[in-house]
Amino acid sequence: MSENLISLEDVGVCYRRAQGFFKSARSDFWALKSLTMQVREGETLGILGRNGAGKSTLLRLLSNIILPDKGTLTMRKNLRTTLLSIGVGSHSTLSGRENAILNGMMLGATKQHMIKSLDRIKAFSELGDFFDQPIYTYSSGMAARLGFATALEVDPDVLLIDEVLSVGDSGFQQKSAAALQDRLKSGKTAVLVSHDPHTIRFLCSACIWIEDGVAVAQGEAKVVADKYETFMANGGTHAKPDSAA
Amino acid sequence: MGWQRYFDIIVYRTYAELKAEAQLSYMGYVWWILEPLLNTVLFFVLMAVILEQSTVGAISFLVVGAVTWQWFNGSLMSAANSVIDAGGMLKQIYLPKVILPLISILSSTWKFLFLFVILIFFNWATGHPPSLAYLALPIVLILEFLVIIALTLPLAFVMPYFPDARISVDAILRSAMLVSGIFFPVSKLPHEYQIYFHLNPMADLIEAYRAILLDGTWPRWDLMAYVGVLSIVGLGIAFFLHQLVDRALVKAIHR
Repeated sequence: MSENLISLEDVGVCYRRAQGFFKSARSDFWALKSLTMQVREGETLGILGRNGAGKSTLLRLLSNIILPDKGTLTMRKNLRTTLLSIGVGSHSTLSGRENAILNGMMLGATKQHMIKSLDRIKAFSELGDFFDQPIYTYSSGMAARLGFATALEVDPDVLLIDEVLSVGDSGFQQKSAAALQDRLKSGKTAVLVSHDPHTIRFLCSACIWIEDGVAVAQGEAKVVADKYETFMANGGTHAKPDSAA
Repeated sequence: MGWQRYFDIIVYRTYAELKAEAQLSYMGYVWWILEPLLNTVLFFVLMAVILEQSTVGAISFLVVGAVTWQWFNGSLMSAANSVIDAGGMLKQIYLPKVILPLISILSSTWKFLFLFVILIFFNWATGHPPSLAYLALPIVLILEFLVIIALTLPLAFVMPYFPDARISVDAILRSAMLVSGIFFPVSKLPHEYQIYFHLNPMADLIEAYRAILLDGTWPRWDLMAYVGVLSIVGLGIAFFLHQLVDRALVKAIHR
């Protein structure tokens, strides 16, 4: 039995929308209503659900950006969780090299770690001499390649992925997808959010299906993905789901 | 470990911001010098026309006020919106929110120091050479830095909750400029009002800069102590607010 890195107990997140500056009327929206789940060391946990199911809110919780409004969220001490994102906090006047260091630091890596990774980032991103040019000279594909290569070098304890990223031209798309799959298959702890059951089946060991801020089913990835697929094939109506696996 | 990384981020982004401003807009830097200059001219004309008492000495008096005010004004204007402007980024990664206004303040500070050196040479050239009182200059500079931080951080933290405040910051700053004694000395005020004037920390600081740079005298230490206490209280409030909003504020940013 592998160790629980993160556990959520009856967690809810509420967004308060004030109706106007002086009005006391407010509409509360619970993006997550009650969620109990664990992230175990070494697993790739899939989060399946439709738009607005609460997946992004869950990712924000897991990446420590917000705190739950109810329930408890516990993480192992000093756990580094990072959402794999491309070009966070980039500055267009900085060179690719400088941005790689800056992005990496924003994603949680130390400056020293990023400096050591620069050669690999340069090679993976296939930027050549452009690596030392300011990124306002880049095409959007080049910027995405740099961002992906950088994000890949940041090595958090738990990698959070919001839909499998595919960037650049088709050649680079395959390369980046393969690199990411290598990470996941090699025992990296990861949480992968997707609305696509095929992706989940292919990459994840366990899966949680979220609907309207609650977990409808959780368990083995294949089983949950099948259930979700059947549900969606039937029009995705709000029939009460059968007992959770 | 964590703090080292945050420190590196602050340094890197401050550098990036200054570089961006220098490369992408020439006006960025030009404005920084132009704004206090324009204020000086405006106030000089006002003094001449309305108060009928402009002398050449008034220029030095006005320039000191305008330059040191610009540091405060520029920092506040850019840092107040720093958190709300970083909304998209803050939705993807966790960053202690205090980092963002600090970056804006530091980049303003860098530009100010550049301007301040010019100011000192200008004073020298116009008959106000350095004196022993310059020893107090670092203290006054640090005090203004603290005042800027103490006022800006809370503002930046609450801004996402009151997006309308964006417009008022500009207006409030402009009115604050009028009561900070940039274009009149406190001695011109009726005696019973002077105490209220001194409640404004920026007015006290500007007066202190003038005492040091123009008269070669020490600043009023009682007022400096008051400014110091005030900024420590402000920093306490900022710290409290930061704890409150650091992991909640993202929910209030609607873009």
